[in-house]
Amino acid sequence: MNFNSLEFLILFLPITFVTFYSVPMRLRLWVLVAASLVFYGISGFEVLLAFLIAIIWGYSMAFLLVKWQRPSAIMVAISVPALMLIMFKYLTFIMDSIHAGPQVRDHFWFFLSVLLPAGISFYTFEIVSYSLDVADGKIEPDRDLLRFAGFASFFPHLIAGPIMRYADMQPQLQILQSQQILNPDVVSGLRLLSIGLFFKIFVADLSGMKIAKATEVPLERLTAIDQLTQIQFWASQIYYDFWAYSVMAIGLGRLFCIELPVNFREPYLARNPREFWQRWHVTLSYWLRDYVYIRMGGHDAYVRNILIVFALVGLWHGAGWNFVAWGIYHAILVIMYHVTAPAWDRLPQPIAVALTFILVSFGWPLFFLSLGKYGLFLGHLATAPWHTAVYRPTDWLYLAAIGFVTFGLRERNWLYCESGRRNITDSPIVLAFLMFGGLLFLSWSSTFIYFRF
Amino acid sequence: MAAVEHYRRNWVTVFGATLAIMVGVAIWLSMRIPSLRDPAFDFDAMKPGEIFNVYGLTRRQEGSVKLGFAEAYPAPEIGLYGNHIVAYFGADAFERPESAEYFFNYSYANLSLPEIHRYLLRVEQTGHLPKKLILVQITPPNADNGRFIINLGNELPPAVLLSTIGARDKLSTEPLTIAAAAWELADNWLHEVLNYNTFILSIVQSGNFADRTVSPSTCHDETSTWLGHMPGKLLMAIGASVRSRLFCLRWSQRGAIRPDGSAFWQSDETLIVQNEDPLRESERGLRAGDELEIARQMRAIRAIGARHGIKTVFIVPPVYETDRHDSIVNQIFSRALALVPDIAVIDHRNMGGNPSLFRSGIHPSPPYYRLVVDELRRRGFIE
Repeated sequence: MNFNSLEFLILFLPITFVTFYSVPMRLRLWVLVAASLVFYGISGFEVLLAFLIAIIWGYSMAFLLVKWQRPSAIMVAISVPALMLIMFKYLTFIMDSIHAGPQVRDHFWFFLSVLLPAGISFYTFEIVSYSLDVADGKIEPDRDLLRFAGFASFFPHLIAGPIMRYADMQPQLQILQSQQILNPDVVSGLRLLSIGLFFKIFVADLSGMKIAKATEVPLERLTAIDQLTQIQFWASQIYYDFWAYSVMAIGLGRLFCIELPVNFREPYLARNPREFWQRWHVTLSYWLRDYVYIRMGGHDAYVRNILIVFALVGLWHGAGWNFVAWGIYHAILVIMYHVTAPAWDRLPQPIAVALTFILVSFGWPLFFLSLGKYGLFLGHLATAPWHTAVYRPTDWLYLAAIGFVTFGLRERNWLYCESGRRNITDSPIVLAFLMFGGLLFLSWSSTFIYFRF
Repeated sequence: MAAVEHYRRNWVTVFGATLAIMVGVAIWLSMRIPSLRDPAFDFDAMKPGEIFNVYGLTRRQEGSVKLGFAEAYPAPEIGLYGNHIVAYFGADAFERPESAEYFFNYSYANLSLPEIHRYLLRVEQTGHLPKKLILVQITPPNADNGRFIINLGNELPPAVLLSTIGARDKLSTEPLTIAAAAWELADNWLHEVLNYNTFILSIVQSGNFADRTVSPSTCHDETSTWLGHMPGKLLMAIGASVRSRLFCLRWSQRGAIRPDGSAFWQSDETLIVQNEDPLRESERGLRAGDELEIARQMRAIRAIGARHGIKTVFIVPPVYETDRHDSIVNQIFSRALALVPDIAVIDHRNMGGNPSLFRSGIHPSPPYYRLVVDELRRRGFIE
């Protein structure tokens, strides 16, 4: 189920919310887990089964890890979730890469034909992090299966993150189980939900439509300005799609008294590629830092480890060589910064921000184009004439408005209101209009890009 | 139990009330918009060369013009039921004049097989099924990554759902069946009410069938004048004299309906780019097991014709693309076809390499439909 669907907004969310606050304290988590399983299971029985297996495996293996403190125990504990991730998400990619024939594919028909379980990369990483934290002695295995299921399945973060750690989630779930009267921040929840929905539809999806204006035209008809505009629309679509999901997830979490972390810290304001990854999909970056990069030796073999980690980042985002190339591209940017840091850091801030943004932007087409098409795209850009054929001044005006919000406003002021000062986005009437606008244009809306991961 | 402070309670009340008022306005506006089914538009009365301009209609209204015709007037010998993919299938493919006498294209928005089933049940209720042959188009799997084959497009009028629920679902007392039918109905209604097109067009839309029936060859196209540069939706709201001039503007005639139900086409619209749907695994519209449902729907549709001694042929048009015959959605669909060897299917999924057969990546052109008619003749469905 999508956050940007009528069935979620009109049926699922109100029913879950009312039920959650109507039942006795001891049943709250039951309601939340049941609702989350309905939320997830609506896309198919097989994907729900795979999810349940991953939960039960992660829960049981934690006890084994305490008893049997050996590396092989860790391998066993993470084997099943990892294998499921490979079979469901990467099998087609593996088959294509080894040029497997129809007979080989027939053997794996079940895995190839069943729908990719949404959010499998997210919940696999969460369950693996739980196992590794138990193995490292950072947390105790939880005996309460319901609470563990609540951690893995809590629907606001189930499908597109943030990637939670059990240590952050467990105390909050305990409060739901033990505190008679809850004090949900309904205002903030509805506010973030409305703003997220509005940005998803009127920025991310509208940018997607603007991109389509260019993809519906043969490449040879595009001019350099058209291509550069298209790249900016890709940058806008990807960022605001994921940003909107994260904001909605935080809002939904607050409706149920669970605080989810901010996953995007204005990444386009980063002054260098390394800082970009400290602001973009923060929970994924920290996960890879803690469980992959440091375990491989961290700074001891910087270039090798960065290349491996970013190749994994690429593969995590999608099963394709274009995603691997995107990961490697970012690895090169980070290494390039590492080498030139003294010079880079002396750049005036606006120039450093612009340079980082431009470099990051040129990577985004790899999310949508195969390697061959990306090569053709860049090749054409190098030789295309400098006028415009597809995009019009209204498109640039729209991009300028997005640019103003992205570069000109600070989220701590207008979104999270850390200063305490009221602004227009606090008005319930304005927010109701944003929500209504979102509902009205839902038919425009496409699935969140990160649902693919 | 939740404790909500006074400020928060007020805030939520204002938020909820505003939202409720806006949704109420949307419902009220959606009730103002004419269905265009009743009274029905008579395509038989159109002269060759005329078009029915659909500019400023919702997709449901656009389809309902044809649906009203299907309900109110007898069908020709051959009727085509499907969605926008076969919009350019006209009577000229049969070497017949451009009229509703021999063939009519009833294609509608983005209908999938279950919705075509409902559409045909509705036509059956009115006694206006085609006399000789029912053609049913199935969305090619690679066109939309398997979507709109059995997934609902939610664009049929709720009245059609209501009138066919009994016939289709044999309404039992099973709570699940009732709940599923009720949700389908509610979902369908909400998709129309909470829709920007319905909302905006219900404010500016007016006029009648006569305004919209124009002849492009005799029309005075004022695209280059001030009129042609005005926003079309604004022109619609101004008045009858401007409206009739609006429907003569060349750009407003895209997708207009010809007397045989096919879509009007302007030669400068052609931009043949290969189908760009990346067929992402996570966005597939078909999954393992769906082959059974596809087969079930095909049998149910064929049964409607069979009850009246009318043959039914399914058409799977090609998609202009590089060879992607081994896509998962294509394989699932092939398995579905293997389950119904007794059903007549014209499966042209392997003809996707020839751009001359297309008007866009997923819309075949008239030369393609001549090939379909040749095959219908060869297999003895028509003379």
